[in-house]
Amino acid sequence: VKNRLEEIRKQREISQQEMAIALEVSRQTISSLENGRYNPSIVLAFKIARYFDMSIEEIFIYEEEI
Amino acid sequence: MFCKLTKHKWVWHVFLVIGIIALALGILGPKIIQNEQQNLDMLMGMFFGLGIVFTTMGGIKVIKYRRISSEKLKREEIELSDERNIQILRAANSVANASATIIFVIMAFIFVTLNYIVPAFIAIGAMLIQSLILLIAKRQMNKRM
Repeated sequence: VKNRLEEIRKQREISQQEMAIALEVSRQTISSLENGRYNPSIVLAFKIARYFDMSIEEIFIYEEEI
Repeated sequence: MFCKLTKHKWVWHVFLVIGIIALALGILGPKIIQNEQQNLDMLMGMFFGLGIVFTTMGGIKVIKYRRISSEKLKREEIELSDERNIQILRAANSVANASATIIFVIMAFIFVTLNYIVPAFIAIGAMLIQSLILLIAKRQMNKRM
């Protein structure tokens, strides 16, 4: 699963720390999500989508493995 | 499970109480129980060690929660409930669990080699109990999910 988290966060001039506090996760989690090292749970994905007022599909892109 | 428990502040008070009881048992036990073979003295020594660990852990956490600012406390709660941290802990626990099984097998072989039959049976028994717990836990989790 790829995501546009970093891009959207930077567009809105939000720091990783601010986002982490708002979503009640650690800053490392935000960093790992942005780097693609970690895929969020469905609950966190919904929280992120609500935080940015977007749909999940607009933030997370599912790519099937070939 | 332990991770879920440590989210609650009262757990550390329980730790402190258990630690104090174990410490008291470790200190007073050898004086009350007269034992010529001294194996009970060793057991009381183990209680003493366990008491020190529990009292220290519980004491540090209880003092910390009294002194810590609400902002830092909130951050700590977030760290504990963070889903990535929980996943990391679960993965680390499964590695430790697999290692423990291997260690039990090695221990059983070493004990048999040294002709320590009772400890060998204890090691094998512990390994079987561990496997049994795994099967039961898997079954229960399967029902829940």
